[in-house]
Amino acid sequence: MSTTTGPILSVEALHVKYGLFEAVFGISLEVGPGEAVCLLGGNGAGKTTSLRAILGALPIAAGRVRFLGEDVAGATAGAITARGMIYVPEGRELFPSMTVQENLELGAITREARARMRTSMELACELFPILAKRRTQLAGTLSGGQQQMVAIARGLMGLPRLLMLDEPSLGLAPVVVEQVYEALGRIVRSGTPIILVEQHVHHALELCQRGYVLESGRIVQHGSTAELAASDRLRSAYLGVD
Amino acid sequence: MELSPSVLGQMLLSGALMGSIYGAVAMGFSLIFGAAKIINFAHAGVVVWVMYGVLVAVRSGVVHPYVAGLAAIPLCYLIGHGVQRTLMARVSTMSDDMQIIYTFGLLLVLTYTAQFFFGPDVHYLPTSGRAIEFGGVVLQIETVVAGALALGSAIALHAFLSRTWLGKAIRASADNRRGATLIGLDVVRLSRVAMALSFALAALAGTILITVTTFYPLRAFELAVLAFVVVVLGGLDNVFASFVAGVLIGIFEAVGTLIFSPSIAQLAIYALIFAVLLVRPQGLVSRQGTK
Amino acid sequence: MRSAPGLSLLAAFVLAAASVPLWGSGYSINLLTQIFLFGFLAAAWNFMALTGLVSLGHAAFFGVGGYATAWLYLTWGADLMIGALAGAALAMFLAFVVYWMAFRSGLRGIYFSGLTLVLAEALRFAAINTPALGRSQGLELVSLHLPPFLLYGLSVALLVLTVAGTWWLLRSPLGYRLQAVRENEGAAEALGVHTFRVKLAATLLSAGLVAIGGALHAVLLRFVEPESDFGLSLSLNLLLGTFLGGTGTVLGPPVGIVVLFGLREGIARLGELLALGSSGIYALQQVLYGAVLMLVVVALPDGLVTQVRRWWAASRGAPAQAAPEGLQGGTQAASKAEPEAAPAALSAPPAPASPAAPSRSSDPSAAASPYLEVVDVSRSFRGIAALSNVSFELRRGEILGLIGPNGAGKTTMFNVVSGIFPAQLGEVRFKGERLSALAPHQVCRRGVARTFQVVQPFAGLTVLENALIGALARHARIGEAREAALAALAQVDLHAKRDLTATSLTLQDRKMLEFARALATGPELILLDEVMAGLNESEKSQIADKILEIRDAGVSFLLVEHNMRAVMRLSDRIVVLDHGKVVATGLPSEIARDPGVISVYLGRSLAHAPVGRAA
Repeated sequence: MSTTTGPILSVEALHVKYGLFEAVFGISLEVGPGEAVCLLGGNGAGKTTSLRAILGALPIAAGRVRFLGEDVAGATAGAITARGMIYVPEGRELFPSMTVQENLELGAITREARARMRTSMELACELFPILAKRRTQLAGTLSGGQQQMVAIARGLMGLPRLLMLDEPSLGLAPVVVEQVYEALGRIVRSGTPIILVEQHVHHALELCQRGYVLESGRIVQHGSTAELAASDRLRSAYLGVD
Repeated sequence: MELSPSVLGQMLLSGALMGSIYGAVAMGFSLIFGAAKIINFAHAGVVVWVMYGVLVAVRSGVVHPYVAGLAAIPLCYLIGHGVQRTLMARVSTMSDDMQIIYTFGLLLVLTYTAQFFFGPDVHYLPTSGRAIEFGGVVLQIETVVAGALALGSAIALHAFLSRTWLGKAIRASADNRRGATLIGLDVVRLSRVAMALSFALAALAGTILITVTTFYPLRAFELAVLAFVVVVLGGLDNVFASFVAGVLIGIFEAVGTLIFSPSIAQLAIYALIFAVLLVRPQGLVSRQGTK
Repeated sequence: MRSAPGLSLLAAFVLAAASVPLWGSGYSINLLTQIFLFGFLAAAWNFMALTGLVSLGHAAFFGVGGYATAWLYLTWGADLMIGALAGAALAMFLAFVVYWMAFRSGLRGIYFSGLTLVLAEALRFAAINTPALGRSQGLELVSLHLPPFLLYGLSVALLVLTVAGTWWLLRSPLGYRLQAVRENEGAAEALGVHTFRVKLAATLLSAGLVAIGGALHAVLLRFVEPESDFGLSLSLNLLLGTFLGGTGTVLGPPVGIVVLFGLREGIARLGELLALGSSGIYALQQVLYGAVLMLVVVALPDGLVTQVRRWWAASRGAPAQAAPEGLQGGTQAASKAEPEAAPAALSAPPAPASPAAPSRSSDPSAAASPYLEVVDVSRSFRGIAALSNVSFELRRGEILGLIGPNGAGKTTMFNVVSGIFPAQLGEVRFKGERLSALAPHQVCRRGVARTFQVVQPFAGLTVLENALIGALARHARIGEAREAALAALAQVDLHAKRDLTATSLTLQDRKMLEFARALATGPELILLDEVMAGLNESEKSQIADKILEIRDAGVSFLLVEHNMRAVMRLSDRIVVLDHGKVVATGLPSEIARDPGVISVYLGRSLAHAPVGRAA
């Protein structure tokens, strides 16, 4: 296994077209080993589109994507996921008529992940105790917060080298968001690099070390989360004034 | 009319056995719709072709139908794989209506090619004449074997779909195709496997069907309608429910035939399907809500 | 088909057809009768297909017509005309009962087609098992001897009438509505089209006509029997003919049938040469039909007529291309050089000053009276509350912005106001009238129009036709509707592009078209659902200017937008939603500084950060 001294993920000048219109205009970002990086911006800024393009689920119009030292631009989502870039989709996208257990099992995309399934499953239940109790419950009948936990745990089952989280707080009550972010904090502290897309800013700033702010498909600011919190760019990016 | 236990038993058992065969025919149709979201009316055409294939094998060589069927199953699996790559790959991107028209065209081609080569006459395999008797119930041995094989395949398919990772992946891609793609599942490959499996199921259905009933090319149309009816009752996306629905229809048919007449029974089934389509089209067993 | 050349074509056809009895043999007359009859049947099937409904079981109506005529004749000695009409009435009744229920439960796709199939099969089965109907042998009209010329004439007349009828229908209000339903049922509903009624009308028309065809067929062949009258092959042949020629076109069905018969005869000749025997020939014909079906789906989804038109136009010069009219319409981008139905006399855009909205009262107190009132609206989905006790007001002449993070409930609010979902609790009132219990097309007719987040143009129709559908919500006659549509197009600067197909427009133009369509319905209030999404800065600016312009002409707006700058700039007032609840209401400047609002987006810690200068 190659040692990763360079960045886990390196994206240069990414352009993404979404059907008829251009959604992302040449963004560049990086995630280093053990880092937690956030992508911020209002709705329609291009955050989800960028993630999905990096992941291979959307076609890339131009730009480079290097993951673990290898060029992956143009590869399929399946191939990229198999290499360890695991995506936890916006809106969870669980399999509603299958049980929690089955949903988790499906996260073990590679043979290696399947071989370690039992251990991964135990770790997941440790992280989210609720899951242990509801293993045989249908995923579609869970509450929003529980579904989010399943989605994150499912991602972990794939033994991610980079975990991509797309708006984990979407549609969740504030109390539940706290719980989710508490678990995410533990994931970050365990050393898994993550890239987080969030609309609700403050949790992202607390969890991550660095961040990028997107507006209308371009990166308008980036830096450490401390710098971002202190600037006004965030407010204007979200609220459109000042 | 006497409803002695033996008469009742006869009716229920033979109905259930026939129904399980209907279920076997429908399962392949249900699988390919559930897993690949393809409405494949041509499935019935494959079943009829297998029947002719087995007929030829039996008449030329001295091959027992079940042996011929055994060979047909893996052969059809491979053919299904190939068909998905060629004919069907584009089908999954078509709208529902186009899929229906396209696969109906394929059904026409399959049905009438069979008629061209084999003629419109009715064929059947001679039965062994042996039967199982107990408690006043008489069942042809072929029917029992057919039913058992159908049940066995339903159980095997169910086990595959619920216990193996590949089976779960196929179900997942049917449940939420976009989600499946996003977490890295190869949905195209999965639909190929599903199609191959449905062809294998068609082979099985054809084999057991030929041992218990007469057939002729236009059977394909009847089977297509039957498959549709069974699947609507059970839920277009749930394979095991299709099997159960088939059994229920078989029993319903037997009861209706005994108490009233064969035609009333059939009409009752049609009425039932109407009712289901209009009230709960996603099927009696499906977990989905209304669209 | 245009008026003058079309009429002469029709006249030529009638003359040619009339001459056949003079020189034709008995066989050819019989053949032609069948061709024309099936052409008529295919055109009748087409009526349903115009609406986007694929019926696999039209044999049901065919058989009813045939059997009714035969049975009445044999049992009661009834006049054949009476029999045919009785058959048609019965078929229409059957269609009404079955499809009323089907459309009520919103059946579509495989379930709908499956239902049609089961209906035909059930009737076939019933016929096989009814002694009075001759069981599998059917009924023979032995004593019937009608002059072949009469039948021939009838079939010609029916074909001509139906083709002309289709041409006329496509230009009538009902015809436009049918096509709108086919292209996009949801959008049609939002533009005031009573989709349920439209679908049922098309179905009844189709059923009655096909039944008459069945009656003629019975008389022609002098027998009815279950397989040929109720069988699946019949349904498929009808479908095939129309499909091959082009569903939704005027000439498609008869052209397709002619080609089919040609293929059939060709195979028959070939079969005779190869000494195949009648069953072999028949089988080969059906195989060919099946192959043609598959081929058409893959290669010719719009049908022969449209394809030939395109080739013809392309060979005469690049820009002139016929617009796709087929069932699959909208997959190819094309533009029409010559308008199919040229607007009456309008060559210059009408003065944009004439607003599409009804004149507003100059009474100052009207501005203050309640206009749109959302009162305590709550709506849950599967136990999760999407909206909780949402209340706000929109005043006449106002632009009210509705903002909030993803998942806050904005789209649900829109859907409740526009009638897609009912509110479970609470009420929505417009000018004092309850809106909450109305269907989308009724909401539209009350003066509240909407656009969709993902643009929903009627892809196969032109820009003008798109706007026309909207105008038909307010004007019953095509002439007036066309004027209103043109005025609406002029207001959004799309007048010059009125004859382009919707699919050939850029995204910005499509958004404008969506806007124009809503305007054409003559609304007083427009709900704009993320109209800025996907546009660049200058395009956004243009749309914003348009919105202000139209507001000044008397239309109020409720906007959902994610683009903050746009919302802040455009809105007179803003309502902020979060987790289905109203968090704040007020002027844009107030909202931008409201700590509650800021915390919704950025979190509590940043809500009280000092407000710096412009970045």
